[in-house]
Amino acid sequence: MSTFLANRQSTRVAIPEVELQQPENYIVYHITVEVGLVSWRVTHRYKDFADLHEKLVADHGVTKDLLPPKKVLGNRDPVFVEKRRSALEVYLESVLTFLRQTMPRELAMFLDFHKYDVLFILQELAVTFFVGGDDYLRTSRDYDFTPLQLHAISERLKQPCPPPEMVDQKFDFSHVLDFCSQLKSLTILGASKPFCNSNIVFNKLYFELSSFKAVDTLFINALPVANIYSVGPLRDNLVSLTAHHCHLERISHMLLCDDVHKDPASACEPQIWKSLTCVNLSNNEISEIDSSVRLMPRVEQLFLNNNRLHSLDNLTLLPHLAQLHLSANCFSSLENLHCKIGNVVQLELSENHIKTLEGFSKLYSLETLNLASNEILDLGEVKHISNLPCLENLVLTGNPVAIVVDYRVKVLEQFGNRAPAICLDNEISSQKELDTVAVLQALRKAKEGKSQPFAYSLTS
Amino acid sequence: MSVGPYNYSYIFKYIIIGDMGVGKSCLLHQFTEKKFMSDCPHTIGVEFGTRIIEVSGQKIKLQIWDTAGQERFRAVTRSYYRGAAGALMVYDITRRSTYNHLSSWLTDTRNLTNPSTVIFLIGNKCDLNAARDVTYEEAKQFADENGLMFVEASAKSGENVEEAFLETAKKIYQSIQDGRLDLNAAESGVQHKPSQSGGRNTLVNDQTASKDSCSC
Repeated sequence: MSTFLANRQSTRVAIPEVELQQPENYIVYHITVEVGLVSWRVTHRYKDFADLHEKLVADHGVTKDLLPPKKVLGNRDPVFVEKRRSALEVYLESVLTFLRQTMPRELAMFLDFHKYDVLFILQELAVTFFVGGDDYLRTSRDYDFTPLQLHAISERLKQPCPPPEMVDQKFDFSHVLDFCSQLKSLTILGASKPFCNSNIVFNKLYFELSSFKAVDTLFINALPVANIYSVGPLRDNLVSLTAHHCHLERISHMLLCDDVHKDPASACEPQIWKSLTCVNLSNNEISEIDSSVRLMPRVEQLFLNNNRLHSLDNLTLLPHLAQLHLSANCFSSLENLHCKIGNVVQLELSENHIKTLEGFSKLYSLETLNLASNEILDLGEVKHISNLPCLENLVLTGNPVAIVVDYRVKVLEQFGNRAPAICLDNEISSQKELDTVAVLQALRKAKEGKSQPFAYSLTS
Repeated sequence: MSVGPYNYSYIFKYIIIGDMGVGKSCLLHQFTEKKFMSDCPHTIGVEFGTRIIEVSGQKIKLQIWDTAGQERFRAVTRSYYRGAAGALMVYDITRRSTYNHLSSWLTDTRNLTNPSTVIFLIGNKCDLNAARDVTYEEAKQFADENGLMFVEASAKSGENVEEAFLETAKKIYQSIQDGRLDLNAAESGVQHKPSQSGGRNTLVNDQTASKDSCSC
């Protein structure tokens, strides 16, 4: 991110290279712009220089004969091209020196300042929002900001002096803040490669979110969340938080992203996310649910798919938790789940390494249980969940047990009277299956009736 | 053609100034949210708020810059005066020092804004009449001598808050009608909003492509 305002004197331009553009067959000049430590490359052909020059002569008092003249024939001759390259370089240098103080928009746009510099990025945003912001907000909730734009907003808010020449009020920063303060849903996509033709890397830019007063939904992708140095009003207002591919190792790194120490033990009242009900931290590297989850006490839906979890801790700190998504983690044994997530209604555990269902036997609130692609071998394991009174959706496909002959019927049979209410592997049981189940159950009762007459009379 | 919060024909820029703790942010909050903020933190640099109001049948959007009162932010906040159409200058009726500083705030405002900027003096915290330290008459006289509009208001009860913001807008609107305020001047603090074309979406967000689907 360049800040031209602070680096007027250390701004340099050069034209180190030319290239024959194919198939159009004309020469382009590669211009490098350096503002302090930031640099980028812009490519223009002679015609663009001529257009720029015309405007600068008309409006900004640049001398007419400063630009090297046009040439119709032989303008791809290497000797000529080299001569023109150095002449154009001299031209750009002198124009920049002459217009360093005012930096007219035409020149800024020619040099791509609107892509890389705080001031001009914000002017660009301001005019976009002035013209179309209200219409956009009328029909859409969500807007994508790049880390570069957010960084520009943050830096601009810190600057003691806004730019001295305000060209037109439609470029005013107010329009940016106005849009930000009304936006409902914010998306930030990180990137670790240099942006466009510059040496700016999105994921090295720090920013804060204090301007987003109405945002209730935040989506972050592939961004180091520690770059957010203040979440501002989001702690009070955010309802849904999603952070994918951010290499999060701990939940606290997200919830305390703006805290220096990120220590869940010392986190306090003002750091609570008051309205957060849906949190999605899937596709990260989380290996443990740490006690920082108490900073989101209202969470109802928690997504931690595709992480590195092998145990469930601290979830009792989330009294409202109803949906828990833990697919593609490292769970192998889960014991006494009712002491940890007793109130959960929907539990997704596909693609883990679960072998036994013993720990699930008292999850009495459970309505949906997804155990697809685990390592359940024995039909007898189903017995453990056969008494769950609310269970309606069960997925066991992809387990070794699912290849047993008559697997569906054998599973359903264990649910007794509730067998017709169970939807196994997303498939409602056919009448034929239910008839078979009824026959199996009758046979079993008869068998048990013979061998254990007392038990039979008690249960009937 | 279109209704709702996005339809307005003018944008006015306001600035709120005054000593630390006189209730600038609370006035803004009361005006934009119609609520009193009891434990308002110190403003750092600047804050920002908007609301759409109606003056003589015209919808006007107010873009309000709320500045920090602390002396150390003076340099930051000075830069926001430029291009303000309205300036709300606030003091606390229970603290005379905040009233005594008004002349310095007024000097800043006069120097840094344009001649057509409407300056409105607000004596805040009028709900605390018992602890009053500045009389109404005294402040009224100061306002008259300097050609300012004036009310006593309370961000806590909401009394006169609405009025202060609206009266300022009326005065600005009148200046536009009279032709005293040039809409095209960059420093006027007023922008005309071209009528909008219904639901057509001109702003295209070009980064929505590669987004993972979130199931919540």
